[in-house]
Amino acid sequence: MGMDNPGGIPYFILEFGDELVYFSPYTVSLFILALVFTLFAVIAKPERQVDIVFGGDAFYAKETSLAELKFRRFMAIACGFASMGAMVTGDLFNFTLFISLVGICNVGIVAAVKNRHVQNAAYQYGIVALSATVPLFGAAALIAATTGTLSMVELWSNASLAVPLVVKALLVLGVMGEGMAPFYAAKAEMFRAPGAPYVIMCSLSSLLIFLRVIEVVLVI
Amino acid sequence: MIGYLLFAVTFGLLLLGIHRKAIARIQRRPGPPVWQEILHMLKFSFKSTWIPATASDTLFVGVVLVAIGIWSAALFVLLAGGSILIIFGIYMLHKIVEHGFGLSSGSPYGKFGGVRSVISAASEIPLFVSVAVVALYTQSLDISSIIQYQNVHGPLLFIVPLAAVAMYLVILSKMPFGPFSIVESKELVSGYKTEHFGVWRAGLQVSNGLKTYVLLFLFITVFMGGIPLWWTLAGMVVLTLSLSFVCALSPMLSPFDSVTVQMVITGIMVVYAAVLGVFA
Amino acid sequence: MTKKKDILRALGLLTGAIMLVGLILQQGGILPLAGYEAVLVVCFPIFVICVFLWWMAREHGEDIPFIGY
Repeated sequence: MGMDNPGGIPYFILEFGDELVYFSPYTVSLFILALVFTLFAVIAKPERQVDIVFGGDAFYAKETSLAELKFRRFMAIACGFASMGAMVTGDLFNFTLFISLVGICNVGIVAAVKNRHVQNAAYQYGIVALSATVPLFGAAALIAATTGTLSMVELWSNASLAVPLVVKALLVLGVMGEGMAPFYAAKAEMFRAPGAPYVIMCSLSSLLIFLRVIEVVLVI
Repeated sequence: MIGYLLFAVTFGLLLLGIHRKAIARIQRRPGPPVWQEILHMLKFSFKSTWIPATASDTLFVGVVLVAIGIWSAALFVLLAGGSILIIFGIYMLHKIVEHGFGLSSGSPYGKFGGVRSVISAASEIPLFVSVAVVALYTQSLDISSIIQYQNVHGPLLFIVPLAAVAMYLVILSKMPFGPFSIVESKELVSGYKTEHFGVWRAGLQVSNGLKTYVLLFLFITVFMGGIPLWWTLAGMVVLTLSLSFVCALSPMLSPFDSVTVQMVITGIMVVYAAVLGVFA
Repeated sequence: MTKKKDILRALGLLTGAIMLVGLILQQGGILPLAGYEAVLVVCFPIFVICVFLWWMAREHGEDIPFIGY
């Protein structure tokens, strides 16, 4: 039993048994933002990143080849869809599934760039995302085992169902592993990858799933 | 509502102007007039404007629209007494807007500003802890219930002073010329907004005015309760002046130090929230 | 160039008109406050940018980024 409606009173809940989609002011605003940035990724042409020597006057613009552009755009759009799903879903299994999809797409967006440093960053990030699926799906399994349901609405309306604190911590740990991308920015290698709308999808989706998991942990 | 929106933009920019003037006077410079930021917005809007050849066109323009849109939404949520979690979300998404500003231009200065903005996401965690501490007392995240709680029990500023300090630091890290404003420090020209000139910068000024208004209004509402509008506006001016003193008297930290200091504060806040959660 | 300015002016007027209609409907009690606010969140940024782009000075071509003196 969690807090009552931390994200505002839901507008409506679309139920298919335990599988459900719910729209509260909070989830709708996050959903719309994911949608807007996905549309940007669809229609924007990629940036031509300019590299210079600081203080010098040598510079060159990186071009994104058509094949690379197509793949990264596909991954960015898939990432947008996955984060939109994670924003409005109301059951924990779909939530973890969408989050692991976000993790995979983030690796894909970065890994498409043919640059040794970027590839290295993508590989390390991929390993973190891979190992984070264990606590992520483990948390969903433990919630199903302790309470017998995965529906967030059921968990929050039924006072007798209590999710142990350690399971909530596992869920947050899993999301942190999948959504490492914004904090991975500390590794500058990731931003040697040109192509603005696509790299932004990495940080957008990661921040969005962080915001959503806060609400999920408060609700359940 | 549209009138209130325009008022919020103007008043927010006026607060930024007061901020600049106060910093200048503390440092014994004459400083610009207090309405300078409003003049900046108008001046930039008349400048000849285009999209740079290296930029990602749609994103370059789109983030300006998103920046104004999200802060107008935050203002409406605040006025309607909605969930504080939505405003927290919008604050986090402002990071993406900064990142978008920086990366869409293709400029290395903008890119580094955007990367720093994502790294300094660490500064957002104190805000969340202060929200958690407030929620421990009020048992709700709705701003209207927080105001009701304070009508009964008195201002939260005196009940949970450390949470107010954490929120204050978050506002400080969003004020220009502050110790934590590494995203627009001078070694990066103007940081994330380097390549957004002319009309785009005027749009950014509009969003900055709204942002300042919303964040200061939020602080007053959450920690002082629902006081009349005139008193809230006066409180916002006082808060701005106190922020100006901090900004004028402290140097800008290096990115590493800035993040470290904020992480230490976050650690203290987490311990504070845990102690309150156990004993309160 | 004049064609572009015409489009911008039309878009500015259109979003301005939508906001005005929203205000009238909201005052008349037909549109709920939340709906009017949603209209404002979408239309206000477009209106601001279009008006600014419409009244700005003349345009030049694209430029290379500033790379120092």
